[in-house]
Amino acid sequence: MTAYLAQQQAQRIKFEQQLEKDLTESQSDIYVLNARELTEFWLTVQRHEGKSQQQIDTGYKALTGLDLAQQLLVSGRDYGAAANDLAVVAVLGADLKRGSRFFETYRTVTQNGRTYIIFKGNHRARLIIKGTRYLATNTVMLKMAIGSEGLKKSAKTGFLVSVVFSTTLHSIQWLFEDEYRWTNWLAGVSTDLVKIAIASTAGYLASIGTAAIMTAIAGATIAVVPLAVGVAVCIGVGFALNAIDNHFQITQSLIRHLEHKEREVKRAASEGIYYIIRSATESVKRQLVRSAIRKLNDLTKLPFQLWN
Amino acid sequence: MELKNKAITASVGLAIFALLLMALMLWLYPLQLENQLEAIHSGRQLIVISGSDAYAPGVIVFLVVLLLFSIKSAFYLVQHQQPSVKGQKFVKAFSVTFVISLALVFLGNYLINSYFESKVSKRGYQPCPASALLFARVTYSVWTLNPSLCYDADVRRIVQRGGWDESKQVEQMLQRREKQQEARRQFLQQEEQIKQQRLQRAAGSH
Repeated sequence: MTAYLAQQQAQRIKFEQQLEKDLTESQSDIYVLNARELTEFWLTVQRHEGKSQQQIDTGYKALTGLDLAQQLLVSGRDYGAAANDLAVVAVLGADLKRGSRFFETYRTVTQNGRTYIIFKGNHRARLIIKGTRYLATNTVMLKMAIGSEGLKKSAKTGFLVSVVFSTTLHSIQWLFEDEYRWTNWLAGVSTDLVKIAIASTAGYLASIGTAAIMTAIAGATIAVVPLAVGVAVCIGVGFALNAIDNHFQITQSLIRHLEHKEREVKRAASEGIYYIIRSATESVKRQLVRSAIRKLNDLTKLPFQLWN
Repeated sequence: MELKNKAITASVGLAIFALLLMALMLWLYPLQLENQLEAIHSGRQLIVISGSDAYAPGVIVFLVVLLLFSIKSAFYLVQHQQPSVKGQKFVKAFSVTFVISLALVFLGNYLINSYFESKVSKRGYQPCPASALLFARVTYSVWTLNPSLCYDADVRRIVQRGGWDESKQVEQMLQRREKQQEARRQFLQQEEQIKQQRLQRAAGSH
């Protein structure tokens, strides 16, 4: 039985790790490299694969028909010919794609006479880019939050930032303004939190819905669109909630209610304290009178009584 | 098939949501705008301008686009079985529209706020420093004809949330204060007159 439970537990942990890995992998890095950067990328890959400089030079010449040192010099001076760029990008792109080592598909784009390669890199591509100083500083990398988990993460981050922002501002005001009381702080923070939660949830659901519709229609989604929908819906819902709050004076009513409760508690407390003091005084007074009568009785030897 | 059904449900849900939110905003925005314009034209000593209200027109436009997208998507999904090139064009067209609409939201906000600010400035109002009043309400700005009110303890006690009635409460408080000062002035004048009369009587008797 224990072994079975342990096995179940191990399986659960394995599934959780797999899920976490899948979720992390649902975030994609989109790279945009020019001919020079792609050549650097290719060179780094060759070095990682343990090839000598001579082997690399020969391989480059065999692929592109160009001299590697000369090509690097030319593109380094930034006057590489467009035709050369295109040839280099096409051939090196095809070479790096082999066996889906770094990316599965790529696109070449010519913009302002320069040719670029655009691809969705995997973790190996990320290692190469991050590990090469030139590429790490020059590569245009777009982090795309793709999939529902990416959107959820964005919504969560937005929610947390808003919560921290709101709470900090209210707390600073409470600390530095005498007129801003704890009732204002509590009512302000709680209504803000409710508004943020509702707006974030609405934004998240709208962005998820948009992503699902786009995927069903086109087979893919442009990552920025669900985010744009999420942002706009968040703003809209936030505005509506704020206007409702102003119109029906919800926060003000909450502040008034808290102040009323505070007064009640204070009154109850003061009444309690007054009762205790009064009872104690009465008791002391009674004791004093009794002891005084006892003394008088002792002195006069007559029974002296103030009450029955 | 399951994905398609989910997408149809999502588009119907999104359409209903967009419609409801739009109706809510079309009800609330005129109220907010009316209050804002009333405050600007009121001539009160202190008014509050909400910067976030200016997002509303842009968001309404965005919601119209979202509504159209959801309705068209629902029809498209019912008619087509698989993702297609035509679908890609449809998505691309709406993506561009969405991005433009989002840009309009921010542009509209900037333009409307600039318009209100210039209007308020022309009427002689000056903005209170952000740290003086409504510090926690970053989208609200307080404008006043008398900058010393930004640091007035009574005003600070009243202006806590930036609601429209707060400006009116400040005005009432200032009027009460004015009346009190007037009464005090009259009392002091009467006292002075009595003193003068006594002095005259004393001088007459001597």
